[in-house]
Amino acid sequence: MNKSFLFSLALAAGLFSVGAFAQNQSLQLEEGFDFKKCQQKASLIGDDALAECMAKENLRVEKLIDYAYQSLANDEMFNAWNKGSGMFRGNLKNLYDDWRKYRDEYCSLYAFSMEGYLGTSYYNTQRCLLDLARQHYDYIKILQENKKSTPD
Amino acid sequence: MNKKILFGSLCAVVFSAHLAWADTYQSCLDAAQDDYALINCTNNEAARVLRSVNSKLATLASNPYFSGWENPSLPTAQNMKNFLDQWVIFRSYYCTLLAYTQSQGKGTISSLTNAQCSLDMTKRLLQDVDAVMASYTENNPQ
Repeated sequence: MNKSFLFSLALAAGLFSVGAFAQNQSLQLEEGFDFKKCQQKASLIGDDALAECMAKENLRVEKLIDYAYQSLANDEMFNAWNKGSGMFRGNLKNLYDDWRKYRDEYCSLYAFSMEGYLGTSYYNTQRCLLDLARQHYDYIKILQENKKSTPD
Repeated sequence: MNKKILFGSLCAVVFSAHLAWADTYQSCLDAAQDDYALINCTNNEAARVLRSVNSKLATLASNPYFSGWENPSLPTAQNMKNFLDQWVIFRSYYCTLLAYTQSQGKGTISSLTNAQCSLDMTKRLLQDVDAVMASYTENNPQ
């Protein structure tokens, strides 16, 4: 099957599967954090409690992203692209930092547009941060999967 | 004219233009004779979608509501420009890395992947900016 077609399928799946991400994720936060249970309890309290759950889930996803980046940085194949700058430095770090800046700014804009309407600013910000973190984790997984499918 | 009507009208015009131009992209792909032509079509489409994003951000910047966003000491248009410039850098890094995983920069597959990635990510950004516009419009009914 054509690689470009596979890539497009994978990217599309990654872009639109954010809602299914939590259910499919088998890894757990070290502290035993369960996002679904947290949400169930928080839904009885209010938006900020839900936002706290999302903030914790965001931390978990960010850790996964960190591990994924470190895995790429340690992979010989990426050394040449990374400009051989070692572990989590060079172009990979730039990519990560640039993504974080974009995510923070976009979520700030999104929450700003929702002010005074649905949900608190904290809730809207955390929801956006979590959505984009999940999306970015999917993007990084595509890189790892692409690498596995690349012939020698 | 009521500012909100003007804002909504601008959104409708941009959306209609987007639909018309999507046909042009398909026509370009259909006519492409080789990978280089495909890459050209896709890069042009990505540039077109990016112009659409830029236009929508300019629309947001023209709305006094957003003057309070980000750095209030800068003009809103500058804040929006900084935001988009930052994203373009991120897109460039990610797509070149994705292309690299395909063939380590060898052959046309790498450029084709880069172009397709740029287009897909730009379309996603367009959706995200549309979400901001939609939430503002819903939150500030006439």
